[in-house]
Amino acid sequence: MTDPELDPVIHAQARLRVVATLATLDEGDRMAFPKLQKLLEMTAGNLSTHLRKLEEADYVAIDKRFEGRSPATYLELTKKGRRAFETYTETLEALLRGAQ
Amino acid sequence: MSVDEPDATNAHRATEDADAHESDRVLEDAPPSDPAAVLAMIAAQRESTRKSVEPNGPLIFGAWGVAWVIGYLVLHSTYDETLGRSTAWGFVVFGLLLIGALAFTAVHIARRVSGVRGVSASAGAMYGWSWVVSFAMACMLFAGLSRAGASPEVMAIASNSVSALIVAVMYMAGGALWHEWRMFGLGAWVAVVGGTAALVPAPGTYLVMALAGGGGFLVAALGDLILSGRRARRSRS
Repeated sequence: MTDPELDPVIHAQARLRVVATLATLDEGDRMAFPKLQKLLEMTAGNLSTHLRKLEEADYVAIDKRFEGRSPATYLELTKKGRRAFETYTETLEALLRGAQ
Repeated sequence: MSVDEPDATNAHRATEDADAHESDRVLEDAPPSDPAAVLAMIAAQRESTRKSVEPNGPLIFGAWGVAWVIGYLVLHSTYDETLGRSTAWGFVVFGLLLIGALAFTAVHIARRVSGVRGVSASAGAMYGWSWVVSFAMACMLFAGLSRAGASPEVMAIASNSVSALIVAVMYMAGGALWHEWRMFGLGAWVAVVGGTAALVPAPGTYLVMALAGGGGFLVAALGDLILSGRRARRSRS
């Protein structure tokens, strides 16, 4: 599928899965890095790379903090990211209807 | 990695990057070329996310159903006419079953919601504390009634119905909070059962609670299982 209408930031298997996972959470909820990693079955390095790309596009907010003495990273879909994911799925649905 | 790498964190990050670039070649791949396949992939990902962050309804309903059916049947069968109440042993078994179901629920929910923070976590925490506060208040009420000289029969009706009332209200509120019609319906059903049980003379109260109350939880668990199975099949096809 090389349709130019599809958002290239989301239109990569790994990032699409990241965004679909975070979009399942309620708005205002964020997921810990290890939980996301386990859900996606990706290596930490791989996931970090894709998260950085999503962060550059302002689709994902990366929240690094300390919980007690250990560092924790939480990921949350931004409003822009949530909207981009909705547009992406709507485009797919439109493509699907067009194909029929 | 260059020699001027200042600390271990950066060294670690550099290795992470190298590792990422290696597998990027594969994972930069576009999703399947068929829009339907991509949509199915999204649906599958969302389903597996929901399964790992949301508590499993059938499991929790099932645990409480089993605890209520067995627990209330024990109270019913240990009812002593001369005492005008069930024996102490009956209450011990009943209490242990409820504590077991409670511990199971708490551990299950804690596991599922760990690693997710934000608005729904704080709403969930407030909801959890509402149970604790309500039952603590109910225990004080029972102690007060007993001190004021309530008979075993009054105590049985009050403790049973007030507990059922709390469960009913909390389930209906939970249904409203998470837009779960089945949870709301189960709460309304528990209210009907708790009210009916108050009108039935002892030890019939316990039979109503076991069969209609515990049975209601088991029916809800079964219904949830059937519906989620159907939904999973539909999203796969």
